[in-house]
Amino acid sequence: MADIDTAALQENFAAVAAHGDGVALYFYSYLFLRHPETREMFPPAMDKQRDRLLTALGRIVSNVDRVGELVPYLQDLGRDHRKFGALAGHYPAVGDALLRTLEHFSGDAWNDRLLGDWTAAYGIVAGTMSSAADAAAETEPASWDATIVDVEHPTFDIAVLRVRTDVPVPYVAGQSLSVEPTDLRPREWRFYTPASPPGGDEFDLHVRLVNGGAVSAALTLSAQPGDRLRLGPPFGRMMLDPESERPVLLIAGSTGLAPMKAIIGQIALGTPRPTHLYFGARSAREVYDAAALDALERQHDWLTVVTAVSDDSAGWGGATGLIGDVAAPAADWSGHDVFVCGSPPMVEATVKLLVAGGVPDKQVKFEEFGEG
Amino acid sequence: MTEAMPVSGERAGITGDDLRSVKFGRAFGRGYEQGEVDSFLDRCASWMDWFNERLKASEQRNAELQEQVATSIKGAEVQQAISILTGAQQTADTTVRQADNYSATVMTEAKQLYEETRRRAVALEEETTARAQTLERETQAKADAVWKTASGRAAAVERESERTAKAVVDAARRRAEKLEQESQARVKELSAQAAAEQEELDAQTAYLSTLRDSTRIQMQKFLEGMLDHVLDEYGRAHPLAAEAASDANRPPGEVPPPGVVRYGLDRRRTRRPYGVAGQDPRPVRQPVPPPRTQDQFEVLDMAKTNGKEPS
Repeated sequence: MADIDTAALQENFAAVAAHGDGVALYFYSYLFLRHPETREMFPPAMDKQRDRLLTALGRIVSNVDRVGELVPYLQDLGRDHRKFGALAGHYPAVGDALLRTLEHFSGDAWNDRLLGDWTAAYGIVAGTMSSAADAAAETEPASWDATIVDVEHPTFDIAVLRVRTDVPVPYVAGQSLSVEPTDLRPREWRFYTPASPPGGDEFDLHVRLVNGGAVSAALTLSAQPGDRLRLGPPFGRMMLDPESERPVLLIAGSTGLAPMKAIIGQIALGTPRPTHLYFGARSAREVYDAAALDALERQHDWLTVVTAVSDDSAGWGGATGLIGDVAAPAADWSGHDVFVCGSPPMVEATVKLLVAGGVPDKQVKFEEFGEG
Repeated sequence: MTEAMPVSGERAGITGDDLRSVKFGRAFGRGYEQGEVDSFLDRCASWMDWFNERLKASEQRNAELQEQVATSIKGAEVQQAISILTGAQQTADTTVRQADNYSATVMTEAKQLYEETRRRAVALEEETTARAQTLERETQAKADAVWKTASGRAAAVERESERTAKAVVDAARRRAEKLEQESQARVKELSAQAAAEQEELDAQTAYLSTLRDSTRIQMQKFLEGMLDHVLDEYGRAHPLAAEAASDANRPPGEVPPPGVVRYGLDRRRTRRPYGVAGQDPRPVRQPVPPPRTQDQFEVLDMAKTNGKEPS
């Protein structure tokens, strides 16, 4: 982006973004007015979508000088957008709406130079996204159709869904897929992680009810065997390094257990490595997969499972405390490959403790829950 | 587009008038026909004037159109449409958000209710367990106390019974001893009586025996006298009878000479002496008097009195 005045773009975007939600509201209104065919790609309620747009734009603009970070992000975005039905022809429409929005909120600060720079910058972004989408189109479908074949409720607000796809989804153990409940909440996509190693045409999803969460509520409260889902392409970098022979430490909060089960399954398929799994729940009720964990521990002599309850230990006879606080001081983990998955505060606190305890940054991989 | 105007001004350094007034220097040799050049320049000047007019008009028109386009995009209609769309979107969002909020509230309440119920159940369970344990402890304590009391009382009763039994036994023993002493005394008395009777009997026996002996001797002498008389009177008639009579006078143990037949009164000498008629020489046993049962009743009454709880 040699000829583009990136500092001016960042300054301009900051000024525009100060208008908050109105910016995205204007953007989508303009887009739907001028290009009505794009409306059907989006869910009826757009507030979360608007947050996402602003977040994505902010990330692009603030990273505009760091091509090494920006390009993979844009490529992922382009690959992921195929599931919405985004086509090469939609990119100019979005560009038009974006420029008009920027102009609208810039007021007197808007000029031809900004227009030219934004046009050039958007061209690069759209080009990167659509060529990644084109490249992906050669190897994988835009999305996978799936069917729920079994629904279990270990507790009333957690569901374990057995999902079957026509063809195996090419994920790696620990990676997540975006899930759209096609019938129950169309056009709403949330990321969930298969709890089994890849290769088969069935896997489990662990879904925890988020109060008021559109997708989680649909999947925990309404989902029935036979319901259809669409799955987006797999993402995530929390996966085993096939070259590493280090022992493994897995730390999971609540349904963050799902990727850990997939990783354990993956380890079992290869050369077993000594593995510790720490699983934390808020209350004894939410220790939802105890039977399966017991079975795994019996089955694999290289696996040790520790379960702890943090908040409500009524009726619980095991370890108590936040799982990070329980796991981190339990041993010297500096020689381990560490995986952490849970709520954002849990992940942050746990990773901090581990790094302070001597685990090198590069050996720690983590994922956080998104919205429900 | 005012900035664009100076650009066209600079480039418009040549006007129709410039062409008309242009003068070229003369040179030797070859040259153009001046009349032709002038006429061409006039044509150029006219065309240039016309062109500049057209250009100016076009630029003005373009600027007007640009203005119009900008106005139409920012303008009332588009802005109206955008604000209608925005309003509709916001309404939709609000509606969905309200529904989601409502469901979130319901879910939160349901979860709280569930957790509360569960906590209460666990608390109740713990309380019940605690209460059961307390109850068990209390029951145990009570049972222990009852056991202690009962065993204490049992010990007392046992001690009392032992005492009573001992008293009974003692009484019985004393009674037995007394009876024994009594019976011994009685035996002694009876023995003495028996001895006295024996003595008397012996004396009688001795008297009778003496009487018998003397009677026998008297009888013998009488009979011998009789026999002597008979012999004297009748014995010469029969020698055998005389011999038999002399045998009877021989001392006992002396073997009679062979051929002598013993008969007659000699047999009486082997007989046992007779006792006194109706008198058994053995001491007579008196029947033991039955125990005096009245005493026993007294003992039992005493036991009964002692067994009672002190009032």
